[in-house]
Order: sequence, then structure tokens, then C-alpha cells
Amino acid sequence: MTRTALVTGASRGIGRAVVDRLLADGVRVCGLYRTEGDAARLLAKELDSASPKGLTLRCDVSSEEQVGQAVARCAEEFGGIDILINNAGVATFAMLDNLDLAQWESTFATNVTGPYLVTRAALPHLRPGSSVVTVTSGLGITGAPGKTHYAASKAALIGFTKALSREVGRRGVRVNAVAPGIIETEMSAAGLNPELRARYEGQCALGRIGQPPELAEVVAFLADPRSSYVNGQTLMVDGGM
Amino acid sequence: MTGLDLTGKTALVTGGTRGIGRATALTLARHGATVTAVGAGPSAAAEKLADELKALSDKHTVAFADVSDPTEVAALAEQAGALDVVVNNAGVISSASVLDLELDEWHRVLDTNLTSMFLVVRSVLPRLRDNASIINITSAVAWVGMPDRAHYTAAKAGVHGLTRSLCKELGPRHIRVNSVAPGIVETDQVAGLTPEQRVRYAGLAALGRLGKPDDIADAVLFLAGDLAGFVNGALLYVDGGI
Repeated sequence: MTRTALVTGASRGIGRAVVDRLLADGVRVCGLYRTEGDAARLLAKELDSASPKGLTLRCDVSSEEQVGQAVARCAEEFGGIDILINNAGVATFAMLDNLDLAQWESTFATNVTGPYLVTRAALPHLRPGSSVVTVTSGLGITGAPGKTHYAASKAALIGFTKALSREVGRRGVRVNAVAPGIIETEMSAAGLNPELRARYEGQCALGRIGQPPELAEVVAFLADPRSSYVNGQTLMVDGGM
Repeated sequence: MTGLDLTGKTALVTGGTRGIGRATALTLARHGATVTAVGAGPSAAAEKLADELKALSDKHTVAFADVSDPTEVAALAEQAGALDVVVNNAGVISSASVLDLELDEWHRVLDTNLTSMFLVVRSVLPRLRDNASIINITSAVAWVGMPDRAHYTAAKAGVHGLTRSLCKELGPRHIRVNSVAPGIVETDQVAGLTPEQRVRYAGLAALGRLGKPDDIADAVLFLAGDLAGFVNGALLYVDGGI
């Protein structure tokens, strides 16, 4: 039977790479995106022509109403969900004394409330043997200056993952997370000046910045029955930091 | 999932004739790797594995070595030749309260579970190919602790310390080093459980079951190959969610 997946933040970066990886495994994919533009159009084109045909929906994961509609539509068209990838997230930089409440709250709205809303909406549609994979961040464990809001939001997802894994394990639903280090995406490494890039590369034992497909492979593994006894975990994918 | 094929790669699995090591040797072999599975010495289990590996292909080997003996490990490394995958799995379990724990037993458990991994890595290092993957098997209990297992958990926690430093040291050579921490797995080591204990242990995992050797082998398979190319220095628990 064809497995089905719901991927948030699907039009760019790691989310997009995850979509491509799941398609390569023959998974039927529903991709959610928030921002209209070329990336969303390309995603829609790819999912539309994929076999089996996918689904592309605009959805702000911090909106309860939009999430409810998008997940219901996905579940109805696909007849159930086997894989949920909570990937949508935002990252900004601000030292705490300049971090206003609006920025703090918007970070948590997308990074934490988003996965909560999407997972809660998807849960009734998750079949036994299904897998939830949430993209958190190595910064949620290590922290970094200017990242209190981001690091706190990503640390929250680690707790969310652990707790939910204990809630739904008996139903045959596994819940895990990946914690990327520095990855070549618009949100992370792209646009770095050469000095900063060299410094980040030097922090990684493999001496380089990770590529989105490398993250996608780990997400795909956690989504796959091959990881059927991996549960409640946050797996670091940082090349050794 | 696609992309797990290890054809053209060679693998060494210590403690490879029973339990998790046996499942790992067979899984790697089924995915195309040329496998040397190492046992402590000739046994019925080793013969059985040799037969099963032979049924897959003539290219696999069952070898014998005391992996806590530097001379035997050096000979083993020579026999194994160039390697892409090293699974440090050999280990012993032991039970004794600290007061009753003799120094000899402490050394035996540390030597087999931890020093052996150092010896194997040191001996195979000159023969490791680019993009090689080393996987050290630790144990989830090392991060929890339990009575009568001070020596065992100290060794297993040490394993991940070894992983962390090796990942930094060998990363620049494009060699990845990771740890896998099994939870409670159905091996000879837990075969003696009473039915009540089995139920209790199974209930510790959120998934409500004990692990199978193949569960661990699948995680090792993923880390062994190029799909995990950016996973380095990681600790992957395979415990069902404890």
C-alpha cells in the first residue's frame, strides 16, 4: 500500500528536500507552504506531476483554522496519514535586550504552536505504524547568542517529542525529532559571508556545512519502518560539533 | 527505503556471532557488504552464522579473536583488510554490587566493553577507506544507571565518550563515528527473564514491546552507509522510547 505523508514548510530548504526524498521512496506527499512565490509554484508543479499524485496546500501552521482545513483535506484525499513531518519554522536574530514580545511570540507561534496544531489535527488520521518527525535544531540544545527565542522554541520541540512519544506509542505511532547543525538553506547558511562560513565549517568535524538532502535522508529513515524501535528521540545531524 | 545498499563495501562486526552482532552481520551482508563477523571462539552459534552467511555469498568470513587482546586484534585487522564499516559490538554483561565487585571483574568488563573498541579502532584505522563509518554499540542503561551494573554502565558510558572524541579526530579524514544505544533487546542476555519480568520490561518502552536484534541492526545499517553522511558523533537510542 502506498504510504502517505504530510510535510509542513514544504516549499523550501529542508522541507523541500524531504519532499523530494519521500517522492523517491514512492510516498504520496501533501506539502504545506505559507508564502506564495516561485518556490511554492515549483512545489505544486512537482507534487501535481508526481506518481502517485500529491497535493499542495497553502497553510500558515500557526492558524488553528487553516491547519484544521489543510489536514482534513489531506486526510480526506489520501484516506489517512502515515508520515507527518513538522518542518515549518522561522529563525531570526536578536539579543535578548532587543527582543520584543512580538518577535518572541511570532517565533513560538510558528515553531511550537505550529507543530502542536498540525500534530493534534493529524493524530486521528495517523494509522498504526505511522511516524511523526519534527525538525528541531542543534541550537535547541547548545544555544547561541541572539537566539534565545529560537533556541527556546526548538528546545520546546524536544520536550514535545519526548512527551508525545509516550502518549501515542501504544497506538503504534512513533514520534522522533532531528536536530540539524548548520545546513545550506536560506534560513541557515546561505548568504553567510566567507569568514563566517569558514568559522562554521571549522566547528564541524567533517569540515563542511550540511546539505538539505543529507537532512532529508535522516528524516526519511525516521519515517521508515527501518527505524521501528526508534521512538522519542532527537537525533543530532550536525557532522560532529 | 531506497539507498541502503552497501555493495562494494567491506564491514567488520565484533561480537558478531550472537544477538545484536549476529543480526547486524546478516543485515549488512544482505545489503551487499562483504562481512567479517568476529566471535570470541568456535561455537555452535558461530557455525550457524557461517552457514547462513555462506548461503548469501562465499565472500563473507567468520573470524575469531579476543578483542581485548592487542595482538589478536592486530591479527584480526590484518585479516579483515581494507574496511568501510566497523561495528564495535562485542561486550559482556555482568552483575555485582560495588562492594562485591572484584577488581578483576571490573577490569574484565571494562576491557571487553570499552578497551576492545579502542584496540579495534586503533588497529583498523590505517586500513579504513574514505567515508568509512564506525558504529559503537553502547547501552541506553548507561544514561539511566541501575543497581549492580556500575562496571557495565561505566564502560558503556565510556563508549560514547570514545565516540565523541573520535568523531572530532577522524572527521577531517572523512570517517564518521557514531553510537547506537539499544534499550532492552531480546538476546541471550535477556533470555532468562521470567514472563512477569518480560511484561514489565516491555512496558518500560512507549511502544510496549522489547526490541529485536533486527531493530538495532537496521539502525546500524542506516548509520553504516552514505545516507547518514552528515551524521557524526551522534548517539542514537534504539529503545522504543524509555
